Amino acid sequence: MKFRQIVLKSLCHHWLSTALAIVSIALGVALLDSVVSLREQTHRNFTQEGLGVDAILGPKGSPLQIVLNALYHLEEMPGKVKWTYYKKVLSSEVVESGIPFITGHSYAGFRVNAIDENFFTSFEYLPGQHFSFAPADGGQGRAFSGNKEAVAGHEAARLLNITPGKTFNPTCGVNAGDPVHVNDTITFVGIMAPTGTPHDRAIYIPLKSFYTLGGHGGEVQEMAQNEEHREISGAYLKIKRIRNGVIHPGIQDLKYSINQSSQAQLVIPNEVLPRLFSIIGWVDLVIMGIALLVTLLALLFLFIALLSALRERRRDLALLRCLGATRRTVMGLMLCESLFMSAAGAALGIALGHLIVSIGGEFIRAETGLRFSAAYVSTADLYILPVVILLGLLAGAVPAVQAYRLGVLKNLTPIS
Amino acid sequence: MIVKIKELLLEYRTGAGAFPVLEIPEWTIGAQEQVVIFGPSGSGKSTLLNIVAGLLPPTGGSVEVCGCELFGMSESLRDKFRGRNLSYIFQSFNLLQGYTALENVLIGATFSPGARPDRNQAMLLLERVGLAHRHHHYPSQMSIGEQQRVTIARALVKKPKLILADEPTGSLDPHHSGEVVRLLREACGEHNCALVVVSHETIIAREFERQIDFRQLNRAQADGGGK
Repeated sequence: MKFRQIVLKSLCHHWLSTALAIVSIALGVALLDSVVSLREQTHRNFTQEGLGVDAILGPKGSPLQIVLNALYHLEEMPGKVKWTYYKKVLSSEVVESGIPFITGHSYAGFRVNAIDENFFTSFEYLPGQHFSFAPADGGQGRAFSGNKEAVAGHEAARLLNITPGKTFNPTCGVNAGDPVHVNDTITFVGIMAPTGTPHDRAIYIPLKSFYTLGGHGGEVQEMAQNEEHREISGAYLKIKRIRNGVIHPGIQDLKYSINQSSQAQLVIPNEVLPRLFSIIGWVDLVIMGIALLVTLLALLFLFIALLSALRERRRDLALLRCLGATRRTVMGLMLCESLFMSAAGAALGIALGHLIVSIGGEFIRAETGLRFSAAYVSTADLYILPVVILLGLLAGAVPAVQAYRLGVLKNLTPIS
Repeated sequence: MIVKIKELLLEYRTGAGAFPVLEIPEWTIGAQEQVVIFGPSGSGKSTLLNIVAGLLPPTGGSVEVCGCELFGMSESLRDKFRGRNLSYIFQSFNLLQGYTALENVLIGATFSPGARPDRNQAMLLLERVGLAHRHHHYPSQMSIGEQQRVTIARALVKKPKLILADEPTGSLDPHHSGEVVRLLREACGEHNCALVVVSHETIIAREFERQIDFRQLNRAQADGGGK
């Protein structure tokens, strides 16, 4: 018999404790692996080039609130920006283009944003990625062109069963109980192909149609005609590039001058989002700590399983010694069993972790529009296998040393 | 000579001083010789066997097995030496519980440097002890007598020069005892292997040409000591 056969035989003979040890390690590793993967993918989702936006021109208020509202369709804008001021910023030498928008409406729990039509042609939701309505990409219909037309993000359309031709009346506000624009029926003309970004969970109407919605009062309706009085919630700004795609350094001067004014502020998402993670960093740490603790508990279980297996197997190991196995051989047997259980547990755990990301990612996608990939290789994937194997060997070290020191005669021979 | 013992001394040290257990001035066993050591329980027969197997270092003296000074080697070398040259049969608990009869035979050659565990040979040996049809059975599915027969097959699989059997029939009834000892003797004869059996049963002792009364061999016992 070969050494590995003896190891496998022993593991099979104690199949219940072997299976329990492997499963407990797998569960701990799966938890750790999935938490790390979801955490890293969340970071990536929130920081992927500011979701195609170099800067956001927004009202005075919390920069984080502006980013969450403009990019993630959460929160509310803290105020308005004058259209004339937006045009002034647009004429800056460092600004390439802008897409103005107005937030604050909703439909069935999904945000309805009024936005400039250039959003569908020039806006890049990720570098080089434009919105698509092509059926081949998963889209339907077309971008809006008329006042009473709308397009829906892929996830919003899926959850609300929106198809081109379907109509709706937007709610004036984003909270339950806010009034509905009952006299303003808007028709969906397109469904955007999935993007894996929060835009999948939004509904868009033409910017100008906001000013014509009934119930906003004459002051707002006048904005449609008079640019002097017109207001917007904010605008996505594309900044000019210098060599090798580097953003024009003049953006900092522009930011300074806008922020010094009383009219608006310039928010750079890539500066704000890391601050969000520093705020919620402790939650991250707690979750990681719990996952780590579970993994360590699983390894403790492996230690107990090996120790109790050793107690059961003293006679077997003594018999192997009697058959010519050296102390090192029996120690090696125990270490190899530990190695096998920890490696199998870690491998199974990583596979389970990816399954959790796959299933959990679907739920998160449905709720936030953010896309999570089960195929994503996280830092945990790279380190967890060697680390768990190492810890498994450490857990197996004590039983292995006990096996090494096992007295043959004490455990085998009858006294005569 | 397969076993050559000179001035063997084993003492257990207690608070009251050294307590002699074994004291054997000289004792030899020839190649392929079959010997029975008989004597009362607790007289130190098994202890002698453990020393010859290299499992228990004596207090003093020389123990040569197959021409090698056993306790001149490191423990690891002694384990390997045992794996290559010796087989040891106990009264009971000889088999690994998680292994089938065939696997239990095969594992007998696993730790023998140079011996390659051969499935066909193991099957032949099981056939020799009349258990080929039970090769896939686990120890818990076999009687004590059958288990001892598997042990004999395992002892022979690595073609040892010496088999040490410590009360191999201790758990068997007289009918099966005789059967197992006869099988052991025949198999050792067929494989040119020396055999030392320790037993306190006179019925077993009568099966052997060379019978050694342990009380006469062990001077410590003769002097009124003993384990």
